[in-house]
Amino acid sequence: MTAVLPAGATAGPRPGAGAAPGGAGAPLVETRGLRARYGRVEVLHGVDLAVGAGQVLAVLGPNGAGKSTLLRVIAGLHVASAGDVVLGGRRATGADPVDLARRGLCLIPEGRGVFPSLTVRENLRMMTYRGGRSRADVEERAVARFPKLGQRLHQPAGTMSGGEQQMLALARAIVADPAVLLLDELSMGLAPLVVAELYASVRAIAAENVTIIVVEQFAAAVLEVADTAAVLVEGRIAAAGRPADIAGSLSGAYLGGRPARDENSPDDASGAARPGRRRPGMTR
Amino acid sequence: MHEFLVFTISGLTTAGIYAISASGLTLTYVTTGVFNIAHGATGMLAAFTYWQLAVGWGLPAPLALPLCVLVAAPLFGLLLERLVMRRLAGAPESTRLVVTVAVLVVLVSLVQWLWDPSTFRRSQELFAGKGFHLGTISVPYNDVLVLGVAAAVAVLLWLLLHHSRAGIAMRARVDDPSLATLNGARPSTSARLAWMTGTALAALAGILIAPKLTMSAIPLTLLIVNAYAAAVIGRLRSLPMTFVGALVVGLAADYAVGYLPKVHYGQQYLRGALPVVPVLVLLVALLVLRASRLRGRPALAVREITPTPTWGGGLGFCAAVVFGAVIAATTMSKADLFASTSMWGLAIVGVSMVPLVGYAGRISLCQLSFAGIGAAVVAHAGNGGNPAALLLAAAVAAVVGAVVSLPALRLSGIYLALLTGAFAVTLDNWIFQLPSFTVAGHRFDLFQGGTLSADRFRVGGFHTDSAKTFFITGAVLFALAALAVVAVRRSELGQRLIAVKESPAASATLGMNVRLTTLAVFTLSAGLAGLGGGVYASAVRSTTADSFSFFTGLTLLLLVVVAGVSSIGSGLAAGLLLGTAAISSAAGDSATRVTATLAGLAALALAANPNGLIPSVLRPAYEPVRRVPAVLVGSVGIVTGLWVLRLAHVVDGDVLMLGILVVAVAAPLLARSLVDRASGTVAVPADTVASEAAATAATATAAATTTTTATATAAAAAPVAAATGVGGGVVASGPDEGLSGPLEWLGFDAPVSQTDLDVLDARLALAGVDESRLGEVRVGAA
Repeated sequence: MTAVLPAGATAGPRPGAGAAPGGAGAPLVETRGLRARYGRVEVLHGVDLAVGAGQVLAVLGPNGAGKSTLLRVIAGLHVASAGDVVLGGRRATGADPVDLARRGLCLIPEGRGVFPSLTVRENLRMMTYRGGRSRADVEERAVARFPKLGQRLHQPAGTMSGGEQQMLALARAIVADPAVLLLDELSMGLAPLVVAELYASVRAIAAENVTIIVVEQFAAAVLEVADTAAVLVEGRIAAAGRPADIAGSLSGAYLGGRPARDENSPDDASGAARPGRRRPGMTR
Repeated sequence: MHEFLVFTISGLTTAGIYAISASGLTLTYVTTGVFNIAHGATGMLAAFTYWQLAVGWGLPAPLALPLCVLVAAPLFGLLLERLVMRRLAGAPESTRLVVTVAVLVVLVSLVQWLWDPSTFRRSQELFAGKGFHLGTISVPYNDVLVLGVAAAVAVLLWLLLHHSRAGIAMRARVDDPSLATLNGARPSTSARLAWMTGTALAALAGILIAPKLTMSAIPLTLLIVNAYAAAVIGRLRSLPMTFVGALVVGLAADYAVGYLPKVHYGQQYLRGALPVVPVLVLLVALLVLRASRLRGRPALAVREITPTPTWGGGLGFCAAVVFGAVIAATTMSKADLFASTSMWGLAIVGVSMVPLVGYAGRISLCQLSFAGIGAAVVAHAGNGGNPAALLLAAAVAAVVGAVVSLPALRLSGIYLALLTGAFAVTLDNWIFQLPSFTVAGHRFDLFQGGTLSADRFRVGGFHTDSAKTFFITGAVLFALAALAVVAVRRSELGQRLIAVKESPAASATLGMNVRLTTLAVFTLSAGLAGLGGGVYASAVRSTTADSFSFFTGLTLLLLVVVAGVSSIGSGLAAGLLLGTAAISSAAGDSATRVTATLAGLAALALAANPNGLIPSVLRPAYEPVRRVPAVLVGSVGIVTGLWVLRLAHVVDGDVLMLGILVVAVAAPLLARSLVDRASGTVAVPADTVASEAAATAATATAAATTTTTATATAAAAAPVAAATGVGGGVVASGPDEGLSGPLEWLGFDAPVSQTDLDVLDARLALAGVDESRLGEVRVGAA
């Protein structure tokens, strides 16, 4: 890990994948009573979340629940109207997104997180802002993770398939060794097979001790990866806990009372749960 | 052959200069999304600065040139970015264009102010015109240097954009600004770098091209406009293609200089075409390039509002205008009145921009050229004051407008602005200057060799020869034109225009014929402009092509946009400022410069408020007057009384002016306090509203909401309160006034408290959604 969050993040122990972080002290990413609004419309009404270092938190919820806003506020793109974002024990509310990005907090926004008219190589080059890595090093690491990208270095990113673009976005995110990765709807508009492949990569990244907050509308894929999960409904945390527990209560909170179908069918949900691997780091 | 080579060499040099300028333009456009119409003016300013240093103060060229290009120009670019361009983020493309037009106008006025235009100046070529001989051809060192510099610029730009992180970040920002931020690229750094480089390139090109003609602000500015043709051939994106484009434009211009004089047939007609050649290349490039290549960037966010005018409001406005005109006509001195008659013609031209620029969102830079056509028609057909000439002027201008719009149908944004600008320059520099010519046995003599004279029209026994009657007739004609625009906005065409402006794609998928709609609005507004030109010509009786120049057209456009291009009152405002003695009496000889500078400075403020002054400041301020009949009748009564007293010579003109001023200030204040008392409780905390509104992209009416009356708020709050059952603190008072206006005025400026949200949540069964109550919520929602 070369990228570093504010002092607290590195000062505390960085628990490995199998370790129980219960006693490890402060969580790496925390929101306290976070409120956010667009003009007069408040979309987050006091959100409390906490993610321990190296953990994966899944934030689920229907359209318009405020999931993307939550990530944007954490990344500094949107200023919270009240409450705090705490990174590594330090208050980081309203920090400049550029500073956050350079210190190892990486958001892959909704849609395709690539620059369509830049070539793959130039897209990767953008990442050398973080961590001071050389161009060759960055390319090598990206291609090692996603060999497909190696054949496309000179192609404009916008001409690749949706799945490849997300791969590029992920690659660009990880080559700089982020401490925190925020993923917004990786699955959007992609075939299930591609989604599975992407989440396999996410799991691999998680195994390297990166703290991840992943936002999804469709729960199945992400619950397999997550250590903890929260359901966001209308700007409030409606449920939080281990993925297994969440999967059970999802149909009510999240489908607005409709009977569960496809992704959330009982089979999937029970298969998705990996109870007990780590203790949830959630508050509230 | 020898001659051909000479022209090729000089053409290559010109091409090199255009390439430098065009690449700077393309660079700022691709990295900041702002097409800098003022690029040429920046170069012109640099040329003057260089002249001052090198010729005026005698600095050696090797010192003066770097000082201008590498120090002064980047600093100016930094200033421009800091003061103006930074605020344009997220503004619609039309606003961004108009703001850069404003920069152009300000720079031109500034230069004319600093360097007296009546003094002859000439900039010197580098190396004092020395050169070497290549066979029989002499090649100036200057040309070699220019070509070398152009090549160096090409290579450096390519390296910057493709092989440096800063350059890649600049391109990344174009693709997705917020993603670039997330990747750790500072937004301000890219923009600053782009503006500094762009300005430096503009300066370099301006300095290099200046020796080719005498130092004069407008020709120098327009000469560099020719580089736009090169940029368009490069589709404003590809730098290599931009260089190819520069080659085409440069060679075409110099071959024209060399070979056009050799054409024996029609020499007197072709002579004027010389400076227009690059513009013709631009026209051809715009016509030939495939439409899909020329699609402008989508508007990032629509911050404009286009309120629908009501018949009541429109008629009231027109009655006020005519009433005011009658007062002015009967009380002003003869000289003042004569100096002011031209305002109605300009006001009609201004109002012709409302449907096209305001409603349809298409920037046209050639409305005043249509007016010039109308003026010519009236001068020729209006002998003896035949009023049918006005209709003919409108018809001819409409036909020309329709023809011009045919290629423009598939264009929008900057491409349309460039096309109409090219058309205006062509008309201005060539067609309007043509000597008389004969087509199919009919002799045409557009501007009669310089000066047009027109008769004032008469209908039966009604003559408009006197300044008084003409002034009032002009006001009536303006009122009719304004009402026609109101009618258009309220008709189906008006709705189509708004639809096409806000989403061309959605309009097309709804089965709307976007092209026909565009054609209709072009024709209509060209016709109105032609009518305005006709009225102008007969108002001033004798006029020259200068009155309809491209630059004057820009100033008029700026005034209209500053006043609020979606409001019919904007035409009147432009007419008042450009066409009356108001400014010239205050500013003396430099009146046009003062007007242009003021318009430009005001337009710079558009970045913050793209709606203009009328909808955001004036209309909300006077809205209460309309709602309180007593105040309305009272103020009209006082003004009428003063006017009668003035006519009876009981009071003098100053008292009348003062009285009108007092009424104009007091009436809205009085009306607002009355309205406030009537509606009682609701008070909008102005500062909250302002800050909230600024935060919302949709509420560009920030200023409007703060001054909006409590009535609007209360009336708007009433249905909301009723619907949600939150009636509590809000007293719904007064009849529902048939709420019209944008949503922002209706209910969204009442502060939403936490209680309101909780009540809303309860109503929508969302309150207290948590683990323990999930089941309950489901029941509640069903």
